[in-house]
Amino acid sequence: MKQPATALHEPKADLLADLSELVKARLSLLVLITTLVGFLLGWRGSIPWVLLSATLLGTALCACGAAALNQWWERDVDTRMKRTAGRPLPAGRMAPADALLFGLFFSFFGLAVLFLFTNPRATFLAFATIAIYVLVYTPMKRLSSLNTLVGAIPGALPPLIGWVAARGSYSTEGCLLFAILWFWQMPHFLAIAWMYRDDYKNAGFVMLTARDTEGAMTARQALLYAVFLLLVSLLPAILGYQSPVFFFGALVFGLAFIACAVAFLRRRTCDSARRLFFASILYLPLLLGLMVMTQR
Amino acid sequence: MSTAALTHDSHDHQGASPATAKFGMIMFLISEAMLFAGLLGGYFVLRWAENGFPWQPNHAWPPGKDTAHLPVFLTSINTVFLLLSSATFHMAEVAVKKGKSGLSWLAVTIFLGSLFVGIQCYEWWHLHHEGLWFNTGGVYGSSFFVITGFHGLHVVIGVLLIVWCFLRQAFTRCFTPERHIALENVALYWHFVDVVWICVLTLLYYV
Repeated sequence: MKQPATALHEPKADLLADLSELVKARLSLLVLITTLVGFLLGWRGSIPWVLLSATLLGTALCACGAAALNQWWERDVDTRMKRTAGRPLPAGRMAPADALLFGLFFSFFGLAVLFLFTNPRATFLAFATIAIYVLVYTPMKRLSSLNTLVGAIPGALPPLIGWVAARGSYSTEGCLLFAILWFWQMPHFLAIAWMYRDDYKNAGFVMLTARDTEGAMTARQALLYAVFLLLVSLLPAILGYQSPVFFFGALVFGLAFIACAVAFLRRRTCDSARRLFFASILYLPLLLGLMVMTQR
Repeated sequence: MSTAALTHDSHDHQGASPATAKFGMIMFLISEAMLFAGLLGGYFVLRWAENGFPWQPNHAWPPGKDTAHLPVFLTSINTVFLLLSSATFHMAEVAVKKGKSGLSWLAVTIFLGSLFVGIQCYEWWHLHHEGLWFNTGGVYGSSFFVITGFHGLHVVIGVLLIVWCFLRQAFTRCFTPERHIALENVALYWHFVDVVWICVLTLLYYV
């Protein structure tokens, strides 16, 4: 008996592993956590479980859909990078049309959930996140080294979505949350981009780090953004939205993060870049956790 | 079904033969039908004992003057969504039989099914605000919430099963024109839930 005519490719697909690859499970989880933080900071009083679950469900679906659309778009480039060649699309385990449908359906469904349960503003923000991520950032990666600046916008919008879903308006506090996330992503991405600079270059992505084999420019920029991050992270306390406890906490975390950036500037090796990357991963949950716990 | 054993090696996750799987689903649905028959029968008897039938002079349903009325119009619209979802699921099956993926039809089915659940949730919330709940309104309230709740749970499970079919088909293309028993079984379940809903709608809302 011959193989069924429609069976796509030989290697047997593991549904759950491929699913979590396509929706970028870890990244989407981070999106979900920052949305939760935004919501918790935005809400006053006892927690509205229906609204909160709807916000998280809608944002999660949007994040998964956007990740699938991004991989659909980059399915040719992904074959050329070691890090991404094993994804279901470049590996040929999944039909491109299926991924496109998956991405569109999940994004649409997530937006519908947000629209029905939260408010039009939060829905619009989620739509803007998907649109900037898929339609601006993804094609821009091949054109301009400024793509990281744009890519950090959809990365910083989720907490604002949570905030607006809870509060109904943007307000200064919500925008500060956006700014913190935006500045945080710059050293984070610069460290990744420098570590994988050869991979990115081979794939045809125009990264700031491609010409910078010495790493001096990358490190200087990472340090600059880390300093800005410290200043922005102190603002909620200075403006009176957060308690002095948060001020000193943010100061300590920010200085430690700057120290890692300085270490990277002084010794530009893959090890210190990795250390900066892990420091950024540690920094964010600490800062946001402190923010929620010392909330006024 | 002599080819079933031969194709078996390429689908090691599908254990039983299609005929066995289908038989199992039909047995399950028969027991489900009995369950719903019990619930609806109980409702009917209790209602009869309390208020009589619509053609009898002392009939009043809902029983009290202040008791909330069920949103019949909204539910009728919602019924259209559920019936449509059965049709779209059938289209997905037809597409798979033609050798296509059927994914877009499955996506539409998931959307319509979720829409039904969402509107039912809204209805519950609305009635709760009007003071009707499991423990208020006597037979009227408790039977409404128990029966629609039980049916709604079935729809939710159905939607999850269709999502599962969608994901399996999108990532592994496991449903082929020759062999797609899981899809057929979920379709049977989904149509069954549809038929039960027509009975629930008629007895709870219209009569």
